[in-house]
Amino acid sequence: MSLFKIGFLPLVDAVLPVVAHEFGLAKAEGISIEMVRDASWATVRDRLIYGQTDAAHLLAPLAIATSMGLDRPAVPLAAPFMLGLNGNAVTVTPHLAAKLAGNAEIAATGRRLATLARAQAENGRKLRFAVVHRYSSHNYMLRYWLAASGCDPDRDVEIVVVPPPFVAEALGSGEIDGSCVGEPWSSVAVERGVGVIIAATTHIWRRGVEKLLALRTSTLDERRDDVAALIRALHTAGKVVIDPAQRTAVATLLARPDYIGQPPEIIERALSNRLAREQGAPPSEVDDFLVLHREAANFPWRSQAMWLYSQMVRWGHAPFSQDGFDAAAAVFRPDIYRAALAGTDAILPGASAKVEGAIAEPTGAGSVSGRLILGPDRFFDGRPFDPDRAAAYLGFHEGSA
Amino acid sequence: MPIRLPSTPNVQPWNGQVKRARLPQASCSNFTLRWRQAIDTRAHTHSYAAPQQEVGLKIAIVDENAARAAVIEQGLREAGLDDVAVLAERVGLVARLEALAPDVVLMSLGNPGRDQLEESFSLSRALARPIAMFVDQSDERAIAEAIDAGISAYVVDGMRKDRIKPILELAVRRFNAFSRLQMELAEAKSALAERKVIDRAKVLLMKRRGIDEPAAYALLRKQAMDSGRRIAEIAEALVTAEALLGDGS
Repeated sequence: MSLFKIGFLPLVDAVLPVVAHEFGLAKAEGISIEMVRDASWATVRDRLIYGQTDAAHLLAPLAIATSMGLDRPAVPLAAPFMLGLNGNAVTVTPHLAAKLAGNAEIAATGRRLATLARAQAENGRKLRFAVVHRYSSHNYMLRYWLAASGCDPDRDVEIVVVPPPFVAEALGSGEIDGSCVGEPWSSVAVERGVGVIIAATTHIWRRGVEKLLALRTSTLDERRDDVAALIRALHTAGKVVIDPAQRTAVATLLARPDYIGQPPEIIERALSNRLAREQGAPPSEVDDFLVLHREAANFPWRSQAMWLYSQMVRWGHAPFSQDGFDAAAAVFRPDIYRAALAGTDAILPGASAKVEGAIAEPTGAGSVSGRLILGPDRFFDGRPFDPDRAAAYLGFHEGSA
Repeated sequence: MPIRLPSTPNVQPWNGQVKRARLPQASCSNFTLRWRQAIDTRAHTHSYAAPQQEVGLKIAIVDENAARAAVIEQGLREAGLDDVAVLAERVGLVARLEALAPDVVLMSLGNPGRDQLEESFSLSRALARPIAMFVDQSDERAIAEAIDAGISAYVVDGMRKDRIKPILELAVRRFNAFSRLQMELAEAKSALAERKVIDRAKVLLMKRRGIDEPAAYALLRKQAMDSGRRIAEIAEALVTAEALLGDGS
């Protein structure tokens, strides 16, 4: 049986390949999966590009950076399937949370945080926030929020890198004041009483691009049929994980030490879009916290890659050029997604790009098959991203300073 | 909010290699400054002409496994590289490396500090002599072997390939030897455990049946052969049954 070794970090949004493997969905498609757990994104990337793994649960911007050779010689990667939208939370120390006063909506919390950050910077003690990687949606979403709320993420705060499993420890020791990290690691910090969740990335961008399934382009070319089988297994896994009847079983599975190694009750929160804001508080609903399946959430919209590239340009991680946008977009492979899922009950969008952040109410959209209804996908500040007008989008930010 | 467009002309033909935007100077730690000074000093005091001249190379080993780090360190010292430091703790790792300013960083793939380290190296890129992951495209096999063994290597920019390669090869050999050693140790442990359970089963049989040790062993072996299982499995079953049923005697 054709084997896919899949690298991953212990996070709830690694759930689709885990379920595809453990529920026998991969086997039903004639392939097998072996999950390879790692402790850093650098190692997940290296195992993938040097062939120790065949695929990876990877940060979307890191896949783009690797394909473009931003940090090291380029290795072309392909992303034919998104492993989920959002699923990250912004968590701060109880001390900082007390200063932010209460559970406000995202824009108000952002303004308070920005004001505080500027004051702290003037006092010579910048707030320090952790993200999981330079090339992560966490970094770009946090920066987007802070910048739109009135502070300069480069000047007024310090942004450092802390691996997800160490975020609670870093909050507890005072190494950092806050973090943007994927579940269950914010909830672990909450349970230990060292963190308070003040926002979820879904509040910043309601349909934020997050992890993807990355393969070497050469693997995709050599094993096209196997990759299609893998995509079908992952898509079916999505049906399992959104089934409330399966939730406890899925959470128990992820809780195993070889996957996440945290209590199933904590893991179940992200799977059910419910988070406990602080220690002792009951979990409450966070709409669209982690979108794993519905609305063709797994479809790799090229406009999502282009938004990420716009943020890479914005923060000096990549140069501005149309070729850069095109190369980022080319990492996302909607063609492979459609080919793999043709003839199944999956919804296949007709277009490969859309204006991101333009939908306020559920809206029908063109599809090749299935009925596609896109839910609200707004950015919290209301600015849409038109992939055909990326320069204007960046200029818009420039003019708004 | 100004966007960070590089001021230099940057709309270049796209050829897969991005011209990097310069980072704001404020983002750079003084690590890289000190780093550059260290390199400048060395340029004055050492000749780069002799390829085997390794004196002055400062190597940092970052490994959460202290025993394995010691094995690598010893190997490097035996090879005449005696400026070696071993670091293990994640917290403060970048700061300690800043203070050390090593020429080469050898880091286990399983170390959770890799992303933090790569971030600090990304920031150093704006300066003259940055440090980066060692990726030698002319010798992909050597790199792939290192990844297979579980090592990543970071080197100061401009260091010659022939200086880093022997170090990496030595680390790979030692990493692999260490893995083998661990496997052998695990096997030895399980063999020891098996012998213990066989001894207990023999004692049980000797007591119950009033036979001597060779007869008890022969009985176990016959049962194993008849049932197509290993002697240790038969012994294990016997000991378990005894623990469950007991005889009260």
